[in-house]
Amino acid sequence: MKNKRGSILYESILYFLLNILFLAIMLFFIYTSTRSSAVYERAYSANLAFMIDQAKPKMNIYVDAEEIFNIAKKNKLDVKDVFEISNNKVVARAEKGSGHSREFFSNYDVKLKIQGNYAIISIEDKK
Amino acid sequence: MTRNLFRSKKAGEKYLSLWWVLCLFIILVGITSGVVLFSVSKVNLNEMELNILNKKIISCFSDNNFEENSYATLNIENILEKCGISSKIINENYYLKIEIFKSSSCEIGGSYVCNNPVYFKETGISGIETQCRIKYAIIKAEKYPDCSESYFKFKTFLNNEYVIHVFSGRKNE
Repeated sequence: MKNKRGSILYESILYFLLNILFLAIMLFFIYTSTRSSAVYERAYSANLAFMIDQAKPKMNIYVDAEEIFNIAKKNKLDVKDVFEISNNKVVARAEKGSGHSREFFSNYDVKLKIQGNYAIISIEDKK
Repeated sequence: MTRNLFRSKKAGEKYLSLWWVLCLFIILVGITSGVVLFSVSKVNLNEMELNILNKKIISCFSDNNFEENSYATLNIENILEKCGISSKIINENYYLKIEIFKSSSCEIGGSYVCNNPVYFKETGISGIETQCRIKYAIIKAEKYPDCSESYFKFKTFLNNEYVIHVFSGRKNE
């Protein structure tokens, strides 16, 4: 009788642990897949391009880029290399050798500065 | 059949049966395919971008950046320059049409129906407008360009009312 009870308890614990393990693996998979570099590169490049398109001269845009900066740091990429704005294109990259670019149509002088977790975009009239 | 399968098992064994493994496998396949579809899906932001372009041109006119008397002679390059839009980028990847009507020549019902523009100019890739009309009216063609159209009624310094119509399109990459 004792052995049978012990066996049921053991199997129930095993069943419980296996389910927890399965759930943990699934959650880890979803977490790593949705927080991949490519997703952030796409989101940030589009966001920045749209902000520039909507901006007017003498505006400073502060973009909280903590998330992509953290991914870049994990991938040993300097935060200064995360964003690049040139030739009417915004490039966002979270790892070396990758990156996603988005074109903007504004014809202003766009300057980029990194300050802490913020990317500061300054819009000026072209000289 | 299922009942027999479970009844014949010992208490704990039934949890680890083939059915449970199959259940986990179905969940696994479902979630994995969902995540993979999310990763490879292309988000089309062109319409959002074209709305910004239209809004930019409209606000440029409604802010009275151009003299009313000069509408007929306006050059599209000058308009783009004054509105802070790169004509090089527009000519390479977009199509843009600007029309200005006297408010009196427009019927405003559910949408604007206007005739005899006092100003009409277009630039960029020709053919985009036709492709857009096909895309939205007849067939669903994903590779066809995306377009956006806006009307806006505004008043000039001379207190005359005009309607501006901006149609923009962008080729799909």
